[in-house]
Parts: sequence; structure tokens; C-alpha cells
Amino acid sequence: MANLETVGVDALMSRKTRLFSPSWHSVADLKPRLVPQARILRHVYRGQVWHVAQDQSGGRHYRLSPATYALVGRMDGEQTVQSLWEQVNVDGLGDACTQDEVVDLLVQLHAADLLQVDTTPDSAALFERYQQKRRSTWKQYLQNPMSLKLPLFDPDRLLSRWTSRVAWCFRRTGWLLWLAVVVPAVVLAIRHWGELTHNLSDQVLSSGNLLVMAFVFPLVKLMHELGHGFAVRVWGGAVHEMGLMFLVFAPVPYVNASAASSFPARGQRMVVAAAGMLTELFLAALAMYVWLLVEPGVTRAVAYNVMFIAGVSTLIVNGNPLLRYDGYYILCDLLEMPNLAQRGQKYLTYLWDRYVFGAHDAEAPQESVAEKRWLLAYVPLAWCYRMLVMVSIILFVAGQFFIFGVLVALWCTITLIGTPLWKGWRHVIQSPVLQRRRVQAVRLSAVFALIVLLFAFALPVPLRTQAEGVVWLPEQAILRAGSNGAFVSWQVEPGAEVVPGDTLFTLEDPLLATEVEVARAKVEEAEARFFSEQFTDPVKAQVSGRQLQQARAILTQLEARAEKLTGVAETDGVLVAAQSQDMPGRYFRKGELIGYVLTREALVARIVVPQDDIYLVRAYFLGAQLRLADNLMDSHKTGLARAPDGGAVDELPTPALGLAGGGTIPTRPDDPNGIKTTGGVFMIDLALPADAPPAAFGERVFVRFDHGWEPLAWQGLRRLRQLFLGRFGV
Amino acid sequence: MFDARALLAGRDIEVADGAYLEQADPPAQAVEEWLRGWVARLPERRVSASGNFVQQVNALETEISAQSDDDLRRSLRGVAARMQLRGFRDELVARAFAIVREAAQRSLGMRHYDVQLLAGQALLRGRIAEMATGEGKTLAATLSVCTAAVGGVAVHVVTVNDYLAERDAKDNTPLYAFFGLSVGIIQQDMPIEDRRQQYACDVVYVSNKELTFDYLKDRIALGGISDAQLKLRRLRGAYAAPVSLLKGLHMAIVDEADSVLIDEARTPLIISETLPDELGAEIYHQAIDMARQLEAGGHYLQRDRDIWLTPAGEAALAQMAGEEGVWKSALWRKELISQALAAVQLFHRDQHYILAENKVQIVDESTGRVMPDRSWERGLHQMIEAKEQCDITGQRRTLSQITYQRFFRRYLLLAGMTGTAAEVGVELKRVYDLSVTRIPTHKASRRRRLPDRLYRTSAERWQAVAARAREVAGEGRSVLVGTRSVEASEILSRLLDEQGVAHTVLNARQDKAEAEAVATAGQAGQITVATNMAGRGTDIKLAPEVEASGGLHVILTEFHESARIDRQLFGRSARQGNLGSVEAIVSLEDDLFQRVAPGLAKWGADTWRRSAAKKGYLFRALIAFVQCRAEARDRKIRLDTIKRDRKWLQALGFVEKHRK
Repeated sequence: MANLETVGVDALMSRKTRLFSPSWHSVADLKPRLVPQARILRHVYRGQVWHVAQDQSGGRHYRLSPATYALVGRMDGEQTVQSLWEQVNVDGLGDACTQDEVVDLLVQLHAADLLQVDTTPDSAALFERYQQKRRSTWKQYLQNPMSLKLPLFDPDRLLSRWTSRVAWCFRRTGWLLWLAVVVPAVVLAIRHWGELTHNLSDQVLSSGNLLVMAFVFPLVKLMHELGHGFAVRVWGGAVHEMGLMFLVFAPVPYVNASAASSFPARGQRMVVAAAGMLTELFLAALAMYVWLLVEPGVTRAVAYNVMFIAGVSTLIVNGNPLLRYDGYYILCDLLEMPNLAQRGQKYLTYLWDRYVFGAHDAEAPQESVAEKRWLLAYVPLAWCYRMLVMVSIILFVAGQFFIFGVLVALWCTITLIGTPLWKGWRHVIQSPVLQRRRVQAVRLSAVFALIVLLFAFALPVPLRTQAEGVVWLPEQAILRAGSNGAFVSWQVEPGAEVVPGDTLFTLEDPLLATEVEVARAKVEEAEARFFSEQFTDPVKAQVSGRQLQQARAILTQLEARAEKLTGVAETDGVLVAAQSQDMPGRYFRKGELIGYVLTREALVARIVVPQDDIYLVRAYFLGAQLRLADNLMDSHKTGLARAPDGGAVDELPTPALGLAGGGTIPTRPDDPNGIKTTGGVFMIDLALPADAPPAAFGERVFVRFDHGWEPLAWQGLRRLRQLFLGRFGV
Repeated sequence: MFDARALLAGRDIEVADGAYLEQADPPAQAVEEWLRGWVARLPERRVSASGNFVQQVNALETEISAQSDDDLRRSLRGVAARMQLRGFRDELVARAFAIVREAAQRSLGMRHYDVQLLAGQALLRGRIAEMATGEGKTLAATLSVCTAAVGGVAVHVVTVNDYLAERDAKDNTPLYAFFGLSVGIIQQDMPIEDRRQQYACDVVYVSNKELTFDYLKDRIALGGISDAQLKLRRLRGAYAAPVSLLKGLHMAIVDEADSVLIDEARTPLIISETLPDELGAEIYHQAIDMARQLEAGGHYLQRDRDIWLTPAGEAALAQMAGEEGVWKSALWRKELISQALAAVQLFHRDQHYILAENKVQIVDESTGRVMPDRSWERGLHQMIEAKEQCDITGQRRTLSQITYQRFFRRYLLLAGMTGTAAEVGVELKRVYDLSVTRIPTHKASRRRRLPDRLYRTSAERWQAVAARAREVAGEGRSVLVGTRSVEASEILSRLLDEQGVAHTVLNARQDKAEAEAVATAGQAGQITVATNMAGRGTDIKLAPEVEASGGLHVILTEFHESARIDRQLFGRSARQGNLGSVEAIVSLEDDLFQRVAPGLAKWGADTWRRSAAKKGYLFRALIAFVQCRAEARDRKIRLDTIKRDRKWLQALGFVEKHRK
């Protein structure tokens, strides 16, 4: 993750309208020049010439507009600012250059440490500036604790020693080799796609593998950074900083490759930005071959991880232009629009000031039509994506470590939402652009805020939850073996109508029958002993009395089990059993399905509700809309079949509702049947609507529970609370 | 020779390394300032005239009064010598004050009141002494001035104008002479050499502007030279070492501290030189002509004291201007016309400036005085000259500038006195780290405030003011009518002339007769119409018959944005326990209502038909609210200016310190 810092490349000279500056007397007699280590380079962006001033020691770059360049170019330490200004104005590059602009330019050059003047500077001010810089570094850390940077050493000597030996990599030979290795590997990867991606999350996130990854990750990233470093060095740039960056507290190496922004050739800049990814892809390709060739074992696991990190993560994270990593810089160079993000921000701010707040005197950023389009498209997209990434990082970190996680989550929420709001507010209150429209701007902002708040907190919107289920039978319609036993006979022929209480079938368990006999005999024996001793020997009678009780209890138990061998109808309906004629003689285990007592009315829709939603479904059930999978177009109103008061279970009625079976409930990967859920779920039985077409048993249904109306903010807060409670297990 | 040891003893002051003895600019700590502001809001311990310190001084009285003049001088020098080592300790100060009090009794025939001792103590502690108007601040200051000056401290007594500097200095010279202290007075048109001589005196009375300008002159002359460099140069003698005007910033006692440190601190002081104008008079006249043709709303917009061109205005301008000379450049065009618009629309004759000897002279809004030799920046002054058909003076080139906030904080010891500090106490603490000590009054005030009267239109108000002035003057009392601008004072003057009422006018145009006007203002039946010139510091001596018939009556004709200025004007009457009365006769068309609460003013004008009315507490509360709002807005502007100034100075880190 190269750090291509290009602070303030755009518009060092802002156009102001004041021709005469009140500070002119401070600078008019100075004889300025650029510091000796500063260089000015000529770049071409979108057909326009930019002059970029580079501070070689600080590794920073500043864009000079044509007018600024004309001025800076004349600074030789001999001429005063006054005479420079007069010269520039006589030359008349377009329009006159104001004093304000010149003073601003000097101030900015000074802030960039590029300015040298002929007088002793104000030491107190310099010292204060130095302190402020140090403070601002700290502030930066505090504002963004998710990516701390720790510079460690200067890799310049190391790089320059090896540069001559790796230079060929960046020439034609290197490219050909890269293609020769990577292209076949890609082909192979496609062919082995199934194998590679099978059960991806298990392979990657199992604890054993995480250990391997912890070793592999820094190494791969080190190669990545060296890729950047060598690329810069090969084309003559200097790399003076290498260190560790703590991305979400995971140490990742980084190099400061900002020297690349002074390369005038666009291709070179792009290669520097891409070098890290190219290196990683090359490694991934090599790992692909290893993975194919060796037997399962440590080597293969390492190869797999290298492939995963270097192939997948690099493309998703580093290659993504919406994040400020390599991809972003490649995109900037591709579009020839350096500082895309900052310029976009500026442009959007301008649009807002100009058209929403009506600040007609806001200065339009000097962008071409095509550039404006890019900026308009890029900024919102990148913002949304960053939001998404940050939120998932917050959840991830918060889930891992409790107290710390909550703090980090809070911190991130502040920086992600609070800081932009604060900045926006400051802009409205203080920005000089809005000076003449301040009242309107404040009012408009207040109205916007009010509308948003009203919308969030006061405007009720429908509160609903969605769930899936299946057409199912009520529990009493299912006939199960009450105890282990062999099927004897049907008492009622399947297909006949039955009423509750009818005996339907009997099972036989010879062992149980014998046990009952034995128990009975034991009871009789105990009775006899008890009665004989009752009056002769009260002490012994106490003992035998207890034995009698015991024997009776055992008998009762056994008899109860024996009773369960007889199946009884609990509901009206038609007795149905599959392969009923084959049943006699077959052995059934307790709980095994024997048949059903079916009625049309008795079918229910059994809905599986995840834990998060069950509170709403129970407490605010106002109705439900049901759609059958066969006919998704029609929805039917329906009500509860029974009170929704069962406890949580961890088993689905059918695998069809699990993720693997095409449903939405996550199931445990180690369950072959695919019905064990990862979290608790609740069963809600809804009556099948009368107006619905006849539903087949086991058919999937989709349900929307209606809970009335509630403002969005409250809905969101409830979800957030659940999320926190669920994540943190409090 | 000067010796500031007494100021440094026991105090943790970082002294700057320049040619002067002055305090180094403290680093700006926003949080600290903010906290200071809150500390100032906490209730203060009240000082009392029966307190420990006053008792100490009074206890010494019999011992001291027995001493001869020479003994007095000797013992004060003795105390001062001890102060040089130990600082202004209470027991030393008490003895010094007792000596000075006795000396004042002998030389001036005036004895300091007990409350004045408290004020003197507050000054030596580097605080603002808030004394009710007419309680004798000038005399109170002499206590600390003598105490410090005898020890070798260069004391600057800073006044709001030259008139007061001269008056206060002359009033107290006998006392200073008693101790052998020389007194310098700086006046506006004094040549450099004279100034240098005056500044070499032990005690210098000087107006704030003169003082700051002289400091700037020194900065230009000395450059960034350090003390050591200067001494080396003097030793070598080869180069003529630059000689400064001031002898260092030791101790300043700022009279009317709120006016100087707050009101006048709004704009930085700029010293400049005149250059021949490159543009030529024609350009300015053309600009003014064009600006007059532009239409409000369509071509330009205006809010408060800000005016700017709309895109339509710029387009119209491009058509009007043609393609000659500077008019070719859109940038120049915009700059020139913006200034011309400001000259035409924002700056009005006899309000912001007057014409004297065919020259445009700026009138200070808060003091009502002409500020000769000052000009507006960036061509605005020339535009106004073009507008008034005066000769166009040359462009001014800034040589050096400084804000009061920076300048006065450089004093080793800064103290102040004022009658009105309550509203700005927080700001004084925040910006200057000055605390306010409230001094109890010597005698209970006998000023009566009559009910305010509000009129719908300005014209009705002037009629009422004239009638009221005549009525009160007829009772054998003297009347002072305060107006906000030169223009207003002249309107009233004309009205009185028409009615054949004798009166005196005191405004920026008639400032030569100031001393005379003030001297006669206390005569029976005398009506004086004055701008704010007759506000702060003006001491109107009443004739005995006037005092008998009820004292001076003050009529306020327009509320100011700051209640402090109103109170200063009211403070002209009923001084030192005298009788007196004040009243406000104002109109809805006044600037304050129009600018701060235009909606309310319009509503009042629309709904309220009956014109003359005496308004009670509700109206008073409304005024308080409006003034509070105006003051808060001004405070914000001032604090923002300081912040910006500071940021800017920091940004200009590559520039030498004295050039900023």
C-alpha cells in the first residue's frame, strides 16, 4: 500500500479578487527564491502543462498554475517581490495577478518548506509552526486510529544496492516473464475453480489456517512494498521511508513512494502504483503451480494462502480505486487527474455553495467538462464504499474485543459521521465563500437538518419483517412411534376417516412385554412379602414396603411405555401412511414417522423467524402477508394458527429453509442434513389463508409480518441495539 | 535613567530580545484564552474602602503629614528602592500612597479619597479599575504613576485624545514636580525631535494613537535589531546607531480602557507613506461616475458594511468601461468599481468623514473626533476624494502595522481605568489578561434618569429634543445634547437657530473650540450640542447657580450600539455627588434599530400610530436586548479579527518580526 502523498498538488494559487493586499508591505521588499533542494518538473495532464514543485527532502509535491510558475520561475533571490509582481503583470499572462495571490503563494510555499528569503525569519513563529506540525501529526493519529503509521527505516541504500540486479524486471524481459507465468496460472485457476472455491470461508477462516496466514501475510505484503520501492528506484526516484502501518491493528509494511509523482511519464507513475499488485499476482501465480503439484500438507496450505492473499485480497483491496490505495493512484494517472478525491470534494462543495446556498461569488474550480463528470461520479461512489468498508470494519473489530471494540466503534462513528458533520457546520459558519450568503446558508442548513430529523424521528414508516417458511402440518396431525417396537397392525385402515381417540395402530415390543410381566411378578412378590411382615415384623415391613413402592413405580413406567405402542388419533381427518401394507413387522424407533391424519384445514404455514426479529413478531403482530412459492404474484392476508410462544430451537423443519437449501437461515456447515442452525430460531405457525390455492405440503412460503408504523430512526436504533447485544453477548 | 526592576521583581515575565525593554509576545493558546474568559465570569472579591489596605494607608497619615517636603521626597525614594527589589508589595505600596497623598494635598490642594487608593492599588497590580464616571480617575492614577516613576519606571498614561492628554498632564504637573518627576505630553503635530524629548520624561501623557504610531515609527527605524546589536553599534560609533523615540514599554495606564483596548482595537493601526498616484485622477472620477450608474439589487448587493457586484453588474460594467487603459482588465475593473461603490453607498459625508480645507478627513465614529493624516486603504480614500470633487492625494503605501491587542500586551505592566468595563470584562480578560476591579463610589450618585421617549420619525425626535432642551435651559440649568454624527449635530443646531435658541456646537468640525465649549457648557441656560467628543473624560464644571437649580441635564438623541457609550454620555452629569438628570429621546429610524432589529423597527412604525410616548421598562428591556445583540456581534467580529491576525502572522513566518 504505497503512500503516494501529493498534498496540495492542485491550485496553489487561488484566484482572489483583491488587487491590493493589506499584507503587501510585509513581503514587498523580500527577495525570495525556492530552497535549493526544490525542483520544478513539467508534467502534462489531459493536454495541459502542469509545473510541479518537488521538495526532495520532504517528498512532497505542489502544483503551480501557469501564473504561479511564471512568478516562481523568476524568483532568484535577487529581485524583490514587488518587482516580480510588476514584471508578471507587465507580461500579462491572461489577466493581472493580484497582490493577494502573490502573498498567498509565498505563504503556501513557506508552509510547504519550499521558500527561502534573504532575511532572518521570525524564529518564534517558526518554532510555533514546528510545534503545530507535531501536534497535527498526533491529531491525525487520533482522528484515524485505524491506520497508524510507524516509520522504521530508510530503505534507500538497500534498494539502490539491489536496483541494478532487478532492473530487468521493469523492462521487456520482465514483462514477458510476468505474462508467461501469470497467464497460464489464470487459466489453471479457472479450470480448478470449483476446487479452489469449495467451502472458501471454512478453508480461510479455520483457526489452523489463520495461523498460517499470519505468517504468510506480512511476507507477501513485504514483497508488495518492495515492488513499489524498486519501481520508484529503477526510474531514479528516492525512497526514504519504510515502516509499519497498523491497518485495523494488523501490522502491514508500507513504503513512501511519493517520489513517483514527480515522474513526468504517466506510464511510469502507473507502473509504480501497480508494482505492488503485479508482484503479488506473480507470487499468486507461482503459488498456483505449487498448489497443483504438491500433496496436501503444510506446503500446500501455505501455497493456498499465498494465492488467497496475493490474488484475491490484492485485487479487492489494493486494486479498488474507491479506496485510497494503489488502485486509486492508478485511476488518477489513467484519467490524468491527480488528486481526484480532493478535487472532487472541492468541486462538490463548490456546487453545493453555488447552487444550494446561492453563493454566486464562489469561485468555480477550473475543471473541464469531462473532469467534472468524473469528479461527480467518483466522490459519492467512493464515499458510499468507504462507509460500507468502515462499518464492516467497525463491526468486525467490535465483535472481536468487547470493551475495546466498543470504544473503537464509537471512535469510528465519530470520525465517520461526527467529523464530516462538524466540518460541514464549520463550513457554513465560517467559510469566507459563504460570507455574503451566510444567513441563507445557515437557515437552509437548519431546514435540511430539521427535515432529516423529522423524517428520521417523526415520520412513521411501515415497520415490517420478512421471513420464510414452509407449508407444514400441525404437530397433532403427525403420527409417530411413541416407543421402540415392531409394527403389528393397523386398527383403522389407512384412507379411512378417523376422529380423536380412535386407536389407529399398534406396535409390539416383545422385550417390553416381558419386562412388564417381570415387573408385575415382582410387584406381586413384594406385595406378598409386605402383607406377611406388616403385622409380624414392623421393622422388616418398612423395608419391604419401600421395595413394593419401587416395584410399583417400575411397573407404572413400563406400562406407560407399553401404552405408547398404541397409536391414537388426536385430530379429525383421513389416516394417511406411505406404504402402509409393508408396515406390519417393520421395526420403528421412538419418534419415527408412521403416518398422518390429514385434513385440508389442518395445514399451516410454519415460518422460521430468526432471533433478531422474534421480539417484533411476538409483541407487535398486526397481521401477515403470505405468498406461496408457486404463485408469488398473489399475496394473502393471514393470521396466527396458534399463539407464537414456543422457545428457540436450533433445527429447521426442513433443509429447504437453510442457506444451503436455498433459504436464508444460516446452517452449520458440519451438519450433513443441513437443518442445524447456527443461532436460535423460532417457529411461528400461520393459518393457511382460505383464499389461497391449495398448497402442497412442504411448499415454500414467503411472509411479511406487519407491525404497524414507526419512524425510521427508532427502527434503526432497535436494530442497532440488537446488533450490539447479539455481537457483544451482553 | 530608566529602571524597570520594580516591574520585573517577583513576576514571571519573558522579556523580548529586541532593542526595547518589552514583553515578548506570548504564544497564542486558544484553550487558555477560553478558560480565562470563563474565569472572568466568576464573581470577584469586592474591594472595600474600609479594607485592610486603606486602613494601612490611613494609619500612616499622621506620621507622614509631620514630614517636611524633602523628607517626603526622600522617603518615597526609599520605598521605591525597596520596591525595585521586592516588587509592589502591599505594605510598600501603602506607604508610598500615603506619601503621594500627602504630597498631592500640599502641591495640588487635593487629597485622594479612600476609594481612589483602591483604584491606585488595582493599577499597580495590573488590573482595570472600574470607577463610576466623575469619581476622579485622573487623580487616582497619580498615586500609581508617582510610585512607579520615582522608582525609575517609564510610565505612559494613555488617553483617548490629545485634549485629555494635555489637560490631565497639566492638572497634575505640580504633584509630579513636587517629586522632581518630569512630565512629557505628546501632541499630534509634534516634530520627531520634540517627541523624543517628551518621551524621555519620567511620565508621559499621550493619546493611544500617537503612542502606537510612535512605536511603529521606532520599529521601522530599528528594524529587527536586537538590544545587544544596538549597544555594539553605539560603542563602535562608526554607524549612526538608530535612536528610538520610546524608551521601552514599561508601564502603561490606559485611561478609558474599554474604549482604547476594545472599541479602537477593531482596526489595526497602519503607518504609511504617500506615493505619487500612478493611476491619475481621471480614473477615479470615471469609476465614481460608473458606480453611480449602477442599480442597487440588479447590479450590486449590499449588506451591512459590505457591498459587492453581481454578475449582471459586472457585465454592465464591462460594457460601460470600454477598452482603455486599466479598464481592460476585469480584475482592475472589479477592484476599482467595488471601491467606488463603497465610496458612494457606504461612506457618507458628515458621518464617516468631513470635508475640511478641501480635504477628506475621517471622523472616528466612537469618539466623534477627526483623525487627520489617516486615510482609508486600497484606493478607497481617493475614491471618496473623487466623489467629493477634492484633489486626489497620492496612494498610501503601508510601511508597518500593528493591532492594539498585540501592542498593549507588550507592556511589562498594563493597567487601565474606565467607568464602563462591566460589559467587556470577559473580553478584556480573554484578550489582554486584564481583570476588572470594581471600585466603590465615594459618594452615592444623585443622577436621575427620566423616562425614555421614542418617536416614529427622526424629524419628530429633533423637534422634541429642541423643545426639551429649551425647556430645561429655561429652568436655569445647563443642557448637553449628545448626537451620534456631525450631521445630526448640525441638523439640531439648525433647528435651534430657527427657533432662535442660543447654543454651542461641539463636533469634529468645530474641534478647535473644544476647551472653550467645555468650559462654558456648565453655565446657566447654556445648551451644548455635541457629538461623542463630549463623551469620555469631558469634565463639565458647573456654575454654582446651575448646581442649585438641578445640575446638568443630558439628552441622548440616539442609542449607540454599545450601552457603554450611552453610559459615558450620561456620566457627564451628576459628577462627584452633584445633582443631575439624564434622558433619552430617540426615534425608530435610528441606525441601531434599522441595523440590528429592522423587523422590529418596521413593525413598530407600522402598528404604532400615536407618535410621542413615554415608554417604560418594556422599552428599556428592548433597548438592552438590542444593544446586547449588537455588542455580541461586534465582539465576535473583534475576536475573529484577532484570530485571523494571529493565523496570518504565523503564516508569514518567513517575514521578519518587525515587518509584520
